[in-house]
Parts: sequence; C-alpha cells; structure tokens
Amino acid sequence: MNETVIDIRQLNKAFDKQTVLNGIDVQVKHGEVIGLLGLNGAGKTTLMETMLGFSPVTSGQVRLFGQDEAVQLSEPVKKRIGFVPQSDELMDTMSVAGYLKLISSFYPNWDQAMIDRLNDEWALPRDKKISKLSVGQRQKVSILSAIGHHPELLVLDEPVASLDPKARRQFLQTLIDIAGGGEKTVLFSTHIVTDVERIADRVWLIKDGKILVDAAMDEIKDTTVRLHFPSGELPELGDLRVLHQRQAGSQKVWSVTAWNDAHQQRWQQRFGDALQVERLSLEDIFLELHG
Amino acid sequence: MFSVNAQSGIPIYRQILEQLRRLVASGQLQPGDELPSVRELALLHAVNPMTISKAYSLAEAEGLLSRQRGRPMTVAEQNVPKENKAERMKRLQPAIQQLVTAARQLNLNDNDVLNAVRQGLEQDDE
Repeated sequence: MNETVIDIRQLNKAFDKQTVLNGIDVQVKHGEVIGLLGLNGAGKTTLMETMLGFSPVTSGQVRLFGQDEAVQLSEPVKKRIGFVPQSDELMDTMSVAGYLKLISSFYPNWDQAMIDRLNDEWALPRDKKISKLSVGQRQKVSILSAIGHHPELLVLDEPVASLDPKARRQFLQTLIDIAGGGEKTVLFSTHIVTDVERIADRVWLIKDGKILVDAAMDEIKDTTVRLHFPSGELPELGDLRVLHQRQAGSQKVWSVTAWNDAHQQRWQQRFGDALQVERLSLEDIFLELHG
Repeated sequence: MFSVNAQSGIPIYRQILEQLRRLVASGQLQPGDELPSVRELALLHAVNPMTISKAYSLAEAEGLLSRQRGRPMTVAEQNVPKENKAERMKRLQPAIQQLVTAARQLNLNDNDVLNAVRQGLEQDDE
C-alpha cells in the first residue's frame, strides 16, 4: 500500500502573534515510522495537535487518510487514529480497568485480549484508582487506551518521558510488535535520541517551528560526518553543507551533511592521512544542528 | 549473536551486516546454519524490523545468506574460500586504528591498553 496517511501543506500556526509552526510541508506514507526530535518549545506538540485537528491552522492544509481536513475529522477517520498526549487525559476517579473498559466501548474492534496481556506484562494494577498511580503508570494506561483499537495511525507525544528503562524497552518492543512489518504508521516525539535510532525509519528534526531535517534514518547517518583536518586550502565543496565548524588548535573540525564517496575521494586526495572522518550518532547530529 | 549499539555513528543495519560478515568469514556461522527471524531479532534488540531485513537483504545480495520461501534465512554455501588469518586480521584494522587513536588521546600507556584488550578477550570467552 502506498496510501498517503498524513499530508501537510504549507502549514503555519501562530498563537497571538507568535509563530509556532512555520511552513511545514511533509507527507507520510502508510507504514512509515517517524521519530520527531526537537528541543523544548521547537513546535513538536503543536505540530501533532494541529495535525490531529485539536486546534485550527493559521494557514495551510492538513489532510489525514487523503480525505478530511484535520479540524473536522469525521468519526470513521478518528477511529483509525490513536493518540497519546504529552500530559494524559485520564479520569482520576476511575480504576485502571474501569477506564480502559470505558475507552473500549467507543471501539467495536477493541482488542481486550491484547490489552489484558500488556496490562500484565507492564505490571499495571488493574483495580487501583487512577489518582493513586505513579506518573509512569499513568503513561502506561494512556498508551494502552490509544492502541486497543489497532489504530492505523498512531501519534505519540513523548510516550516514554516518565517510563523507567525497563518499561521503556517493553514499550519499544510493543511498538515493534504492533507496527512492525509496515502495517501501521507511527509518529512519535521524544528526547531519547537512541530510541529514535532504534525504532524510526525516518527522522524529522524540528527547530524554531520548521522541519530542518527530514531524512531516512540510514541516509542521515551515512551522509552526516565530522571532518578533522589541518588548516590550509580546501578541496572543492560542491553540494557539501556545513552544519557546524570550530577550530581545535591547528585542526579544523567541521560537521557536514550530504557527504558521499566523491567527497571522500576529493578530501582524501587533498589531505591524505591528515584527514579524519568521524561517523556521528544521531545524538551527535542532533547536537551539531543546535550548535 | 549480534550486538547493537544505538549510540554508535554506524547505522544499525551496517553494524549487523558487518557482524554477519565477520561471523561467516571466521567460520563461526557455517553454510546451512539458520538465522533468527527478522521479527525475533527486531524484538530482541528493540530495533525496527526493516533495519534487520535491510541487513539480511544486503547480506543475501553479497552471497552471505540465502533465502528460501517460508523458511528461515540460512548461511549460503560460500563460493569464496573462507578467509585466511591474514585477511581476517585485515578486517580488524579499522577497529584497531580507532582503539589506538583513543588510547593515545587518553594518554594511556601501552601495557595498560594491551592488558585491557586481553581482559576483554578473556571475558568474551567465558
């Protein structure tokens, strides 16, 4: 299937006079798993919420599943979506099981067997009142309430922020379990860059309301490197983009993107063994972009 | 069988591919040996299944693995003879170079580094 699930065109969003999203233009195909990275306040939550129609766009267009304007999602389209908000919207007075039962009543295809299994695996106390849960436990309930109906599009706003490392790993495995094999489309934001590195096949780096980088995970890692080389005349730069540069003693240190074999050859010819090409982790790349 | 480092600068699919090459080159994986399924590895290491499939497909294209419908991926009959020691040592060079650079930058003495390497090797044998 090659269906476009998310189609965002020239999206702008401002609160009062402050621009939060600035010309977002992206399309997402069925089955993609996208990791959304950005500093606090970069616009991640606003992007997700505007995309899902929780607040109107200032200008531009958002279409989900090729049909609906997000602001007026029809019931059938809503049922194809699962959303985990950054701060949960659980009902404090209910028990875990009671709350999940309420949510299940909205969905004819609710998979109670899966929810029961995950409830046990994640060690959630079914009969406990939600107001008595820890933040991490609340986050787990919030995730369960968003996946029981096997949504085709799952949007998660910092789903693991409060989870301990074990719970985080279990969550990632669950995500692979339900989304693996390209059957579901997933968009998730996080500050844990290594999780994106593990799970995502596409990365969006958002900065100041713009998507600064939109690339396949492997591509971004294959083409972004840090170069260490002595001062002197440079080889032809061509399409090489310099993200960040600094001087370390007599050495120059450049972080570049669009690196390829041709560049490698040119630079090696120019500097020989004095050139050191360092591969960067996604975390390094992220930090270089915010240099 | 594999180790995955999500903090490394090397994409995960290439980490797996490189480890596969080494395991086959050294004969630790023999022709006919079955590999874990994509799903199994993906869940075990908590990585995207596409990443594992990509590594497997590249290994297949290189003639390291062979795929038969409905059966697990297996190690292919190798057309090239197993690599001799010198060739395998050559594969180790980049890693050695990295270690040496790091050791020099940290200003460690040679014996300490060699001991640490020996210790690492012994621990892995256990």
